[in-house]
Formats: sequence, C-alpha cells, structure tokens
Amino acid sequence: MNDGMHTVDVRGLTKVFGAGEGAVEALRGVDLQVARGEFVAVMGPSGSGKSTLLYLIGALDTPTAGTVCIDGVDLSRMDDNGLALLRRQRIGFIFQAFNLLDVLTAEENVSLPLVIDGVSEVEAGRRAAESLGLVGMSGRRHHLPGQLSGGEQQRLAIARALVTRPLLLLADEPTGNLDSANSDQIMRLLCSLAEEHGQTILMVTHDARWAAAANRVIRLRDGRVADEQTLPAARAYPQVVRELESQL
Amino acid sequence: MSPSRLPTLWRYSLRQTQRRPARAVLTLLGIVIGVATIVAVSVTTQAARRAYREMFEALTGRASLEVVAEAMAGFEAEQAQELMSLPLVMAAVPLIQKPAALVTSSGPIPVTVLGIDADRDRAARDYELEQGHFIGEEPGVLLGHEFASTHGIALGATVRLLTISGLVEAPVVGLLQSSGAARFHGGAVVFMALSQAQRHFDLAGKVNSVQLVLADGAEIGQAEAAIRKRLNVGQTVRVPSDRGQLAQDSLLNIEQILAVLSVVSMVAGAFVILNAFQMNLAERRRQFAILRALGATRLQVTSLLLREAAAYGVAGTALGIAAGMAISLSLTGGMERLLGTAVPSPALTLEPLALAILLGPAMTLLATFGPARRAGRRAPIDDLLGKTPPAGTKMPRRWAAAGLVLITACGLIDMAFIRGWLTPALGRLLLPAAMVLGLAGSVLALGVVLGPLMRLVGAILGPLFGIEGRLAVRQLRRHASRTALTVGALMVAIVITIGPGNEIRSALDNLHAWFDNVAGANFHVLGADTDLGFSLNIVSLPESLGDELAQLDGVERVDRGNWFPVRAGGRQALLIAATYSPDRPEQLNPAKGNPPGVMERLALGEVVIGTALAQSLQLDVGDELELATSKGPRKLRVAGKCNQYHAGGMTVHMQREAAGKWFDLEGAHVFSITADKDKASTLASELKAFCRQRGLLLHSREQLRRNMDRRSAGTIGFLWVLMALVFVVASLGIANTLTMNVLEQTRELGLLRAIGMRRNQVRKMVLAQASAIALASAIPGVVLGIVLAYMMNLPAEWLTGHRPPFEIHLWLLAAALAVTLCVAVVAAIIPADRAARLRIVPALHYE
Repeated sequence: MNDGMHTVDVRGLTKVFGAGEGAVEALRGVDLQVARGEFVAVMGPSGSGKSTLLYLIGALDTPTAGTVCIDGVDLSRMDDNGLALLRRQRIGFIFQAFNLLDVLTAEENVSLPLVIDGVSEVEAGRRAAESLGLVGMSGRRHHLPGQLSGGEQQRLAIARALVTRPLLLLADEPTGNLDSANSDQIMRLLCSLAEEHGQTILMVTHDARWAAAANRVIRLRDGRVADEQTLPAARAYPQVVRELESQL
Repeated sequence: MSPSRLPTLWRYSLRQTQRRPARAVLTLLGIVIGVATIVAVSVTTQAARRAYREMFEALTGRASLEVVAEAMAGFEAEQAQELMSLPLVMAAVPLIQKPAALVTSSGPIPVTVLGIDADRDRAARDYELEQGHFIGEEPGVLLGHEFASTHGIALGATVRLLTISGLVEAPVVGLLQSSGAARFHGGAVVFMALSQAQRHFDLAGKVNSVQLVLADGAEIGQAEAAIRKRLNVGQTVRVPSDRGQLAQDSLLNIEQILAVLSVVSMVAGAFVILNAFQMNLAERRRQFAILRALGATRLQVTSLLLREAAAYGVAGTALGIAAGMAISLSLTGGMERLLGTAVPSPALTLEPLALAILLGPAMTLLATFGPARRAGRRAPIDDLLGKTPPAGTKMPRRWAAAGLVLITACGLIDMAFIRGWLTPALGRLLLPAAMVLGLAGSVLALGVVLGPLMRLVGAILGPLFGIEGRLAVRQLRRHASRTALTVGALMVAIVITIGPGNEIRSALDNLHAWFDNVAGANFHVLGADTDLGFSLNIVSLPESLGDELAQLDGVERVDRGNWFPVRAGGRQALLIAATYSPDRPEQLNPAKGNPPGVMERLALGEVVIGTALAQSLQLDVGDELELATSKGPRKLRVAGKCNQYHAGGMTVHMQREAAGKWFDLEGAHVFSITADKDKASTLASELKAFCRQRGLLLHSREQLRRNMDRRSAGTIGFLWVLMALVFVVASLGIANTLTMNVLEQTRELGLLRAIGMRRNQVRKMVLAQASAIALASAIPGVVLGIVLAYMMNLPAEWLTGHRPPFEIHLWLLAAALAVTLCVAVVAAIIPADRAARLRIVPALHYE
C-alpha cells in the first residue's frame, strides 16, 4: 500500500525480458521509496537493472510484476494516454545520450514538452527561455544541438526536463557521455536543483563520485537492492567518494 | 508565414524534410506522378469530349434543335417556313452544312462550308466582321480571321473549294472575328450565301439543315415532339451536339486504356510513397521515442506523421495538377492527331480538380496511415535505447492477408466479366478498379512469397556475384518489408509495361492487319484527310471523277466508297457503303463465327455490322437491324459481323449499290484504285498529276498506313512515356532502399573492410543487391504482366464485341527485363560508391 508520502513508491518490482529459456530477469522484486525533495542515486554494475528500474518508474516501460506509484498514483491503473500525460506533466527525463531533436534549436527543444502539452507557443517560448537561464544556456538558445558541446547538450536536456516543473526528475547516467569537467558542471547543477529548489531526483549512475552528491545511494546487484546508504548532507565530494570507493 | 513563425512541431517536420531532400522529392514524385496522370487523362478526355459539344454549340449558336435528313441529305428549303409556324419555335434558320476541301498550294485542307441565309441567320448566330463586308447574293465567302491568317489567305484573295461540283472559286469578301460559328471545326469554316452553296453542292432549292431557335420558356422535349409530327420521311429532329456521339464511341477504347494506366500509376505512386515513408519513419524512430518520453500521446505522434503526409499530399497534388495540365497539352496534341480535328485547349474543370484534390491527399494518407499508426503505438523504450532491430525487418502479416483479399476481389470481378454478369457500362467502370485491386494485392501479398523468391534469386546470383551476392541477398532478406515494397514498386512498373504494353502492341498489330485487309487497293483518292468519328471531313466528289480515273493507263479497277453517320437501332453508327467483292471477304475483316455466304447476302442488300455495334445492340447474325434511312426506318437482316477500327467498331457495312436505294448518296467520298500488275509505279505519277490538277488528295496504301500510325503515335507515345515515368520513380525507390541499406550496414561494411574486403567488393555487393531487387521484381512482374495483359484482353469481347487474339510479345518481355536491370544498376551507382568510400574507423563506431 502506498502511504501517500512518497513521490516514488515501488513495491515488488519485477521485469523479465524475453520468454522461455532465453528469458532474462532484469529486476527481481525491488522495493524502493523516494520522498519529496529527496536526491537518490541508484548504483550498480552493468546489467544490474538500474536503468530498467528508472524506465519503469518513468512510465516508459511496464513491469512484469509489482507496482509503481508516482505521487500516490498507481501506474498500472493508467492507460497509455494517462501515462503519456504523467510523463509530460510530472516527470522530467535526463538521458545519457541527451536525446535532443537535432533539427530543433535549443529553445525549441526545451519548449517541446510544453508545446506537446498544448501550451501556447509564446508562453512555451517564455518558459523555455527561463529554463535555459536556469542552466546558464541563455546565450545559446538559437543554437542547434549539433553546434553545442556535450556538456551544453546535457544542460539543455536538463533545461528541457525542468521546463514543465516536474514532480520528479529521472536522470539516467547523466554524465556518462561527458568528460570530467563537464560532468562536474552537470552534477553541480543537479545538486543545486535538489538543494535550492527541493527538486526530487532519482539518478542512475555507475560512478561513485557522482552518487556522492545524493542524499541516499541504493545499490542494485542482479536485479535486487543489495544495499542502501543514506549520506549526511553538506559533505564535500572527495570525502564521500573515498568512503564509497572503499566499499566497492 | 516564415519558417521561424511556424508552430514548433511544424518547424520540426519542415526541417526534418529539408534534411532528406532526395527522399522528400521521391515521396512527392510518387504523388505527382499519380495525380498528374489522373489529371492529364481526365482533362484531355474532357477536352476531347468538350470538342464535340463546343464545336456544335458554336455552330448552332442560339438554336436548340435542328432538323436534318438521314445522311445529311438535302430537303426542300420551304420546310423552314412551315416549322416557323409552330408556336414553340421563334426562328427556323435554313442552312447548308457540307464538308469541302480548301485547295491550297500545300494540299487540300478540310473545311465545313456553311451556306447561310444572310437575313435570317442572325436569329441563330452572331457574326463580328473584322475586315471587309458581309456576304450577299453575289459570289464571295467569309473566313475566320485566324484561319485565314494561318493559311496565308488575305481579304480579296480568291479561294478554291473542292465540292461535289468540282473545283469552284470565290473571292474572300470578309474576315470574321474568331468567335461563334467561326470557331466551328477549329475555325475551318467557309461561309457563303445559301444560294451559292445550293449551286456548288447540287442542292437547288434545298437545304440540309434547319436550325430552330425556341421561344422563351419552351421546353426542348415538348418542342421536339411537336416538330417531329411535321417531319417528312427520312428526317429527324435532334439536339445538334448529338452528332458527337459517334466520335465519343470511337474514343472509348483509348479512354479505357488511359483510365487503366492512370489508376495503375496511382497505385505505383502509392507504393513509392509507402516505401519512402517507411524509411523516413525507420530513421526517425528514436525521435518519436523522445517525443513519447516527453509525454506525447500515441495519437499525437500519429497525428504529427499524418500531418506531414497530408502536407506532402497537398504539395504533391498541387504539383501533380500543374504537371498534369502540362502533360495534357501534349496529350491533347496527340488526341488532335488521332481525331483529325481541333480539340480545345485543356481546361482544369471541377471534375479533374476534385478528383485530384480527393485522390492526391487520400492516396498519401492511405499509404501512410498504417506506418504512422504503428509509429505512434511503438513502445518508446527500445527505440530510445536503440535496441530494436533495423527497420523493415518483418513484413506485417496483415499486409499479406489484405493482399490476398484484394487479389480475391480482383478475381471475383474478372469472373463476373467472364460470366457476363456485368453490363458493358459497369464493366468499363470496374475494369480499372479490378486491376488496381489485383496489383495492390499482389504487392501486399509479396511477403508470402518473398522468402522463397529471395532464395531463388540468391541461387541465381550466387554464381555471378560470389560471396558479395550471398551477403547482398542476406541483407535484403533481413529487411523483408522494405525489400518487398521496393520489389513491389519495381514490379508494378514491370507489370504496367508488360500488361498495357503487350496489349498496345497487339492492338497495333491487329490494326495493321485490319488495315491490310480493308485498304486493299493500291491508291485512294479523297477530297481531304478524314477525321475520326465527327465525319466533318467527308468531302463528296463527283461520280464522274471515277470514270476519269478509270481511263488512266494502268488502272485495273476503281471502287467507289461512301461513309456517313446513321442511326442504327437507336445508336449513332457509321455506315460504310463500298463495293465489296465476293472473292475478297477479308475486305470486311470478318469476325470469327460468321456463316458462309456473307458476301453473297451482302450483295442481296443485307448488312454486316461492326462487333461493337452488335454488342451494343445485342444483335447476332440473322437478326434484323433497324436503320433510319432517307426513306424512313428500314429493317435489314444482319448477314455477318466484322472487326472494325472505324468509329470504334460502331459500323454498318452495305454494298454501295444497295445503300443507294436507302440513302441519297451525293457523289463518292473515296475512289479506291487497284493498279494493273507491274504498273503501280507509273500509275502513281499519273495519279499525282491528275490529283494536283483537280485539288484532290492522293494516298497510296503505304501513305495511308503511315498516316494511321502518325495519328496514333501521339497517344501511344504518351502511354510509353507514362510507363517510363513509373520506371523512373521505381528506380528512385531502389536508390532510396539501397541508400538506407548502406546506412544501416555501415558498421558491418566497416567490419568487412577491416577484415580485408576491398572497395570494389563493397561496390559489387551493393550492385548485387540492386540486381537481386531487379530479379526479384522481374520474376513475379513478368508473370503478373502477362496476367494483366490477359485481363485487359479478356473483357474487350464484352466491351467492344471484338477481342484481339491474345499473344505475348517476347521482345517486350526481354525489353522490360533489360530496362529493369539497367534501372536497378543505375540506381545503385551512388549508394554503391558511398558504401565503397566509407572510412573504416568511423564506420566501426557508427550507431
């Protein structure tokens, strides 16, 4: 049962890909709760099921068993249109591969979720400009994604994810395609969103340094929650990183 | 609206289109070719049909009805006065309308002479003089200003006219503006005083038409009934434009082929669109997944794609209409040559416009609806992660099922034809539909046979292309639906080349065989070149000319012939009165199944009728044909049937002597001269001099045959161009498929290059793919092409009453195969080159 306090409430989540002998169990009865304003990092080795978990929570995929509740709403009770509406209005996605539409400018990419939601072009443009300002991209609003660096593209993706003021921000390896300097910038941005704006964030990463920025770290192994660690707030990255690396 | 002001999703679609201009052009071409053909055929057909209506409307002016005698023979002019007394008639205008030839230095030009009563004629027609004065009782003619200037005739010049009285001369006393009756017969009209016309055409005190202007509010039907009571034997009252009926019947066959081709090219276009659109969607899967991840609903994604398709449809339709109008200009030229008369400039009327507006976007939306819906319904996650197999891997089962349903529907319609369950009118309507169903069904059902087909292709190409060939076929099999659509588009091109092509070739062969039979004489002397169906160019020549011709050295015999429109069994038909010799039955091109002794019975006054007329009136040998003659309706026994190309087979054949009993034959329309053996060449020069001196037209049999070919060349040329165009579009489809294959094979090609494959081998592999597509298209294409040819041949029996013998032209099959292979290889050049030039390291990292 969902107690209504959590932004994300996952119970007994199971996902099996394929069937018969070739079936692969990506998740095996995962339970997870994320409170409003919490920044949670999901870690684990490749194939541990962390991205699958994120996509199930993000209503991009459907579980084989178990339930996902977002803000108290059970996703299994929603039809495809309802799920689309949920993604559009309540969830922001940040992908490792940025997933920007390369024929649209930065501002157009950011305004896209609003346009899809039926917001007027003028209002969408205004809010996109605001969102771009939040990630420090105001000066690049008329650039196409191909004209931006990897770090800029990811900031753009964050601006797009934020433009609808979502309840939940889901980040799948947001620094996976970036160098250290750009990765650092992105993580600072996510941290500031969590700390200053109280944004609920669920981030998948395999890099302990970036997981250290979260309030809580959940480790998955072979589709199960192997470990969970709540981190003290306001600690310096290096210290946390060292602690985490020693445990791996 | 500038692009920056467009809504975001429109801008997205627009830029996406700009990114792949070649594919956008291909999609547009698919629509353009379909719409253009439909518009061109519809507009030209309408223009040809309008030609009859406008021509006779121009001639009759305000007159709604006309009284004529059978065979346009003369009758007493006073009858106009009697008709004037009817309360529903406001004016009864006497008129002589006779074909003649205007003899010029470049040869005789067929014209219509209108003998008018200058005082009374203005009740029906308006005349606007450009130069000179109106005609009076003295000799003198009026010409249309444009016609005169085209032929270099100035005001005051003397013109020579060939009439039944021989050559007559008259000064041009005035030039008319090219409006009203001066537009009749493409402006080839000579106006003269009624009294002059009566003299030149041996019609003293007579006219051959009284045109009736009805009182205000008078109903045509009511007036017609009242007038009919006052008519003499052999006369009829009719709406003037009814004269065009025979010409319309003559065009039915060519219209049928054009209609089939236009709808078939629409199908070909639809498959090109479907193929291009599928590739477009395949390439953009990740983008749609992003949209879905951002919260777009299935409906929103589907709507976005259908909106793009609709935009293509609208743009393609607009371009298609413009292209169709341009094509119709040349097709109208072909029709003019075929008909031997002026056809008005093609005009975009509501019907073809509505057809294009309906069919263009509808065809696009129909072709794209399925893929667009599927794109909207895909789960976004796999596409986001790039885990889905490459596009076009599986051929949806529903396609095959739909294909089989369509083929069955086509088969049922054909069966209905064969069993005679359909009327000819319904048959004409359903025939193109059946072919479209059959073709579309065959392409959709390709999935069922694609596997074995590609294995067969692999077995054939393996020895030729080696490992590259095997890899090529494997790649094509991996993308079953894409391959099937490309194979389908090329297959349709082959089918419509072989199907209608075979039938056109057969029809031409049959036409030549018919000609060799009916035009047996060595030379033919006429007043002017004949037209098709209008019978406006039939110049009556003095009978005495025949006697003069017979005196020439080397002439074995001279046969006289007449032909004119008649009403047979209530239908318009062409009566051909000639000297049919009992020892030359082939002269009639007899139909199969005639009883013996047809020629003998013809000599006894019976008739032989064209198969189309027999079919139309449901008459058989031994039945009686009701013929409207100058002596009133007569029932004549049908001695036999014949296959005719004159007037589309709506013909009645009589011995000229017998015809003379029932009709007022005024002179002869043609003198057919058989030369003594070995004297044909010397006779030719004598005849030339004879005809030049008298302003006559001389045609040898060979010249007549060349003329016949020249007349049909324009229309047949159009058909071949249309087929070539479908091939061009299909080749673009192959280029598109190969480019997409190369793109998706980038990593594999990089790997092959990394392990030592040479650039030339890569090039060879892509060429092998093109060859495999060509071969896979050709195998079912040839079979279906022959089936289509047979299907086109089969209903001819029911539609025109005459079915040309079905034969397969092997050279056409060979040519289609050669063209298919060439098209495929040419289409592969650029993709092959692109594949060969791939840089290995970036290719290995390509996603």
